[in-house]
Amino acid sequence: MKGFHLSVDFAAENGITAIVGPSGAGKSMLLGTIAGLEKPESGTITLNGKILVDTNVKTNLAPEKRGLGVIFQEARLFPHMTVQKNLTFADRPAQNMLSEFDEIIDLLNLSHLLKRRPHHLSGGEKQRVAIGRALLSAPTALLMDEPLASLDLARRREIMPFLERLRERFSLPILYVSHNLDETIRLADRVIVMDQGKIVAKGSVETVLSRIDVQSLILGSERPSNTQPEPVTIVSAKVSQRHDDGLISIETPWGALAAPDISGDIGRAVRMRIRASDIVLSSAPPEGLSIRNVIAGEIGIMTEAGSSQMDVLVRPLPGADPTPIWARITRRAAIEMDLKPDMPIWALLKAVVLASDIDIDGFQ
Amino acid sequence: MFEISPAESIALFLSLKVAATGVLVSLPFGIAIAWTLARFNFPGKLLVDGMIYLPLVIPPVATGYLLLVLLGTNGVFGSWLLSQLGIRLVFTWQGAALVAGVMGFPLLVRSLRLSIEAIDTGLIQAARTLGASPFRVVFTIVLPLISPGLIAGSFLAFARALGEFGATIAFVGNIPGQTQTLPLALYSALQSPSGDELGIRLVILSIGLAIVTLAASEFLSRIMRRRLTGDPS
Repeated sequence: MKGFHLSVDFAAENGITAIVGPSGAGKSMLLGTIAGLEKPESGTITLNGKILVDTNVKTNLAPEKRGLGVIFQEARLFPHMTVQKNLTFADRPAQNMLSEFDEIIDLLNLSHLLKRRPHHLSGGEKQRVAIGRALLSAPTALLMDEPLASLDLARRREIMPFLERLRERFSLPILYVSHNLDETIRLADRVIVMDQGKIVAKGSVETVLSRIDVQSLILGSERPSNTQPEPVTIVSAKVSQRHDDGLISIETPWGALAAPDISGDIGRAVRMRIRASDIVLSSAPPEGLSIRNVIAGEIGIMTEAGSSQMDVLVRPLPGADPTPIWARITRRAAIEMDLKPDMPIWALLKAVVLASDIDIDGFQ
Repeated sequence: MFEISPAESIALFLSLKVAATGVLVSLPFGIAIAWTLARFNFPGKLLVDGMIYLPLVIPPVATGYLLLVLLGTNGVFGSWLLSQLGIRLVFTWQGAALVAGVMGFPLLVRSLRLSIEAIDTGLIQAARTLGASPFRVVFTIVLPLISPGLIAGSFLAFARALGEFGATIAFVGNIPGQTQTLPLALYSALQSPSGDELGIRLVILSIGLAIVTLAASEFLSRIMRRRLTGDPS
């Protein structure tokens, strides 16, 4: 693509750095340029001090010399080779090979597929082999270009745990291009938001993805242009206690909240996504309701959301920097309650809303 | 019982040797040109494309005459080849093999080009990111993936070369044991008043050879395709 300007400046650490943005933002092109599959007209890319690209001195390292593992949208397995041959395609130093091979096969649950040909694998299995193949090239970083985008929902759910294990097991920087908000919320450690070739936001998942402008940028492309996407609140939580009645307590920046049983042991970190329309606002401390979770705060900003609704940002009290909560209410309610910025407010959150981990299909 | 006489078998084996040599020698050039045509755009591409198809569409005897002008002992390159390298193509089986290669070339390139165009470039990219040099990519990815087209194209060119007559007789003549392939032997037989029986025998031989060639091509292509997809079809 000629005349497209990528203007990005970031450093990727270990863990998953998600690159999100609407289609055409230049995410895949950025990844292709880092991998050496696209040639930039000007610019520099360095990795661990190694110069990959520097157009000032006419350096443009061939892809095979960059030591990067790339996972594409399609698995791109070699059709004429067995799974085993695909996995061992990368030329790499023999040391550690055996132990690591077994470990990666085990991690990705590939042992029963080794003798098969790509032709006879499901989409999810193919992508797992592709991930294993990239890992076995002993890369210094992994680049993933929407690895789940070409899979159906069931296959995406199948792959997700493997990606999570991958992140936990290998201390590798992983650049993960996605246009799916939920995928990002569930997987990413950090996030970079791109639009029209530029970085528009970067930082922690909670801070960046809770921004309404970022949300409408990512979700806007998936929706009809005349509807305002419903804001979501993203919060990290930790399972802190299990109760006899089946409820559990989770520790959030807003304090302890009740939630239905979430799988996982005490201490397990989860990230939750709460729809604005799942929040009820009250101008007085509520009594006699079935609601378990009440968060006291004050009103931050209020924005219009179509002709009959409003989005209200609640700043919880107290706390150093608690994650703000988005609530969507009707305009009539806002007028009757006489809501104004800075007035005290109580955000009510049904425990069942916190029912599950983020499902990667939640927004489709 | 159909028994092959010594004279017939000489013509038969000469035909096989000439056609096989011509195809094998033209193979690397065919791959290089097919790759260039399939993957690159350059000024004059249409011209190159047309030139390659020329032997398919002009009278074979014209091709033979052009080769004679270029590579004959008095020809532009022919005189140089003879004086510098001592290579004489006219009236030799090597010359006949060159004709075989040239006449089969359009069929070879066409088949190769189609299969090269069908390769998913994503696979090549993936191989590069896994540390494979372009050289290694050619041998581990490209050649295996184009093997059905390579086999089909080679056999087609081979079959074409077996039947070659006009260009051969114009360039290397009709010398028994030297340049007299099956079609030329058939021609000679038909020239002689008592050659009818020999003529029929040579026709049967030619048909049998063509059937065996095409069957072998189909068989090998199927094996290769099965190796690519793993389908037991």
